[in-house]
Amino acid sequence: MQDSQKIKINPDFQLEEFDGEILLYSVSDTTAVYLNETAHLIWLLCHENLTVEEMVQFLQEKYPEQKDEVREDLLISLQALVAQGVVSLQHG
Amino acid sequence: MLKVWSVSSMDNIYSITKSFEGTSFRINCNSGSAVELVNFLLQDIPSLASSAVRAKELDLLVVGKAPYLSLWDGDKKLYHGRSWYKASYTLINLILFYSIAPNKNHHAIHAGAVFHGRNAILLPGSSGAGKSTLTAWLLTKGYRYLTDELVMLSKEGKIRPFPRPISFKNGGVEPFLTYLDKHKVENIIRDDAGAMVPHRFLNSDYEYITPELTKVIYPQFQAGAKTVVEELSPARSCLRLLTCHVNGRNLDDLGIKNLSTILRTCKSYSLTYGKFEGLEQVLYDHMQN
Repeated sequence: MQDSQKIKINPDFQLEEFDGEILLYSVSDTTAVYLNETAHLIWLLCHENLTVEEMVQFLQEKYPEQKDEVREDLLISLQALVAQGVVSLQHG
Repeated sequence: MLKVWSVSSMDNIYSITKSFEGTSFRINCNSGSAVELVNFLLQDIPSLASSAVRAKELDLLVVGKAPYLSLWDGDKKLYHGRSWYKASYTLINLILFYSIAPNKNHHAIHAGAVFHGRNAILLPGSSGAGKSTLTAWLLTKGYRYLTDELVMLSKEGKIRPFPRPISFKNGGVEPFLTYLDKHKVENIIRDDAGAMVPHRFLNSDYEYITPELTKVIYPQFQAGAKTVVEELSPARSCLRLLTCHVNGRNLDDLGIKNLSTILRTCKSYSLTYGKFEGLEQVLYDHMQN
């Protein structure tokens, strides 16, 4: 995954919201994905047409006390979302 | 293979018509033994007058001295052999398939279910997860039987169970034989493939009820594992329940919105266990919530 890449949302996924938790599901793929609060935030960021690096910067500003962990956590979450078909990578 | 009715009793075909959740079945039997088997398996499923309805026709033959059992869906042979368990298991699965396939009104959930006090408890799980074993054990502790295989869950959250004899695969019945006297042991189906035990043999307190779901427990048996109960959020419970949701494609949005609504009103737990010792107290503690 490169910092200059942007994330594309899979529009097939719909959202069911619980208290602090999210279930994304695709009727066409009969797939469901659980998102905790952090993963949900990342998924929302994916709608903003940001590059990976821009997402890192946003999260580092929002969570300055976790600045050092943000990049790795973000990449792990994005890779999981890509693996589950929720998002895909675009070349920047 | 030709479907061979008893040559000497071509006129003696006994038909038993049953109905489950809007689907009717007519099981044509060639002998008293076949009739006994159908009655053993479907005792708690409502009967209908044979001539009254259009029904899915199935044929069950018991032939020869061995005897051999043969189950047919039209001209399609689904089972032929000497295992009463396999023939029974195949017949039950066929009835469930034809009940679930057209159903667009309920959530078909692969699950056991029991009732205790004020709690209707769902035990979802895939094959081999241990739901029939756990259901059977709960019956020996006074829980009332609803099903050990399938629930039709209404949109209002009511459990509509499919009652049948409890099915044990590959020796799984052994721990429960101590609960059966000699007469009962002689009146179960049991062979190398598995066993079917009338649920009344483990708890005779039974009536067909459709209670509102209050708790969901996802069992996972792991030999030697410590008993661990973990409460699940409605979101996590929904994700797990979807893996046991058999007819999601029949429903709007895969039925997820409605399942979510139902699960928000219930408590859900993950249960890992390796033995029954101590399990009763653990479950009792969580059933008080």
